Amino acid sequence: MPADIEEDWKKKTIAYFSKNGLESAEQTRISLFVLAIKQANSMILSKVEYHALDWTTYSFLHNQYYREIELATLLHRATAWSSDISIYTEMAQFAVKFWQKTQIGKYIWGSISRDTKFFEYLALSHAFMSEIRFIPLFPAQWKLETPFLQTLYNMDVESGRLIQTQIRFLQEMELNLGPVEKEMLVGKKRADVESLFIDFLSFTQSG
Amino acid sequence: MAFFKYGYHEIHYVFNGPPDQPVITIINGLIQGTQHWTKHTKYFNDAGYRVLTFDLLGQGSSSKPILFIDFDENYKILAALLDHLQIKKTYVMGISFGGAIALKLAINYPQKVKGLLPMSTFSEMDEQLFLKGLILYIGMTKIGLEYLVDLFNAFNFSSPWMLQNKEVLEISKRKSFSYNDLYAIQNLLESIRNFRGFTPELKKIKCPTLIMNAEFDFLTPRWCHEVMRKNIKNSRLMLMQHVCHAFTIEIPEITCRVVVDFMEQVENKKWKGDQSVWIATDDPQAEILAFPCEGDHTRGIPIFHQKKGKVNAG
Repeated sequence: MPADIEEDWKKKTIAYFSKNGLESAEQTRISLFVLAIKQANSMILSKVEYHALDWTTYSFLHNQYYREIELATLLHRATAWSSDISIYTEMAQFAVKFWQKTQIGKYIWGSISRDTKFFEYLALSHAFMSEIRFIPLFPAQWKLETPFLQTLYNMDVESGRLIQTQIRFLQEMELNLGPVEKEMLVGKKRADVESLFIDFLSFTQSG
Repeated sequence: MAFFKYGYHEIHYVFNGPPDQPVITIINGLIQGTQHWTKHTKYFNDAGYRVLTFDLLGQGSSSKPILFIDFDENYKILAALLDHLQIKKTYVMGISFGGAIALKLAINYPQKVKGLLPMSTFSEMDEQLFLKGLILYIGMTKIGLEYLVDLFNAFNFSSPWMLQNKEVLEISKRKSFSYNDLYAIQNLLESIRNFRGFTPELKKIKCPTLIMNAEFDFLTPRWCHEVMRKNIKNSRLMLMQHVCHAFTIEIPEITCRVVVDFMEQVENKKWKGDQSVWIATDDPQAEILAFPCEGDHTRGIPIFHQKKGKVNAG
């Protein structure tokens, strides 16, 4: 998304949350969206427990796997779940879109090895952690005092720590790709996740 | 919003002020953005200067490469941006990380720089500075971006200022967390991982240069600026009283007055780059803007060079 349009989009999103707050409908939508990502990512990460990997790769991904599960559990507990069943139906449809758009299924099957497919997965998970950030979309004056806000905040902060694994591997993995090709590939995954996130937040753009 | 296409990157910039007037270009510090220069821009515009601010690659609204940023890419981008805007010559002021970029621009594109204002910056690293950089890096990657902002705040501002601006600081911390992306700032910080000192190259800088250093800059202390003063012949060193690393935010009025006074001297061909050391006033309304520094300006205590045998101990 061009930066000027992104700026406008961000302003509208902040204005929406400023006006409507974070009621159970918004909380439910956000949680279902985040949980869909975390569940899919955990499915991929769980593979590290069954494959013979070098210690560094294993230890980083193992840590990430358990943190993802922990954060998903916390978010589940912190959410004021809505009783509006239509939100769940809508978000189930969105989860299908998420699986299609990110092609995440292809990373679930097969073993993990230091190849282009693993590089692509790392780029995708980098995009999850760098693009899916909710705190910047809330008014800066909000005190992050509710369990839901605290959990979202912790997720943002934790993403900054966990993403170190992706950065390290993406930078250092030796592949038959030049730096520019690598950057383009990573940029493509980022653009996919960004457009998905924008799509998800379309409910904040009207009015 | 205006953008300049550089390769496959987009660089966000703001360029405004009276046309056909001299231009001053401002280069951000590590976690700054164009929005940090609103007050300064207005002051410079009112004084008759056009102002160019921009987000570095990885900052604010500019592209944020995920994998690599080359430190030297920063000044090359600025040079290309100046060409794009048909700015033949400009004053260049840069703070901290941005100060190092300003110096590199003046070394590599001397024809583009009319006057140089390196602020709170460095051209080489000693063990302390390297360790401080490492602490900032570890803080950011192991704890988080807000922690990095807190670390910077401790270096950046004096206690009285922080006490007066507690709420502003909290909100600006959250805003910084919002408009910056950790991985992108990390990339910028990593771009100086292989930083090679360029002090010997400072001698190539011939343009009028006003080096500005805060009295209590613990991040880039006096020696960093002293190295510049000694190596840039056409320079002067201006010490800013009572303030810390980010003095441009803490005392914007005095900073702007000093900068405009420098540009006026250059414009009116009155500039004397004699490597002298000056102290800026601490009163924004003061008639006299600066006075010569006497004594040893490299010390933390006011030592005067006295002849042997003339010092009495009490």
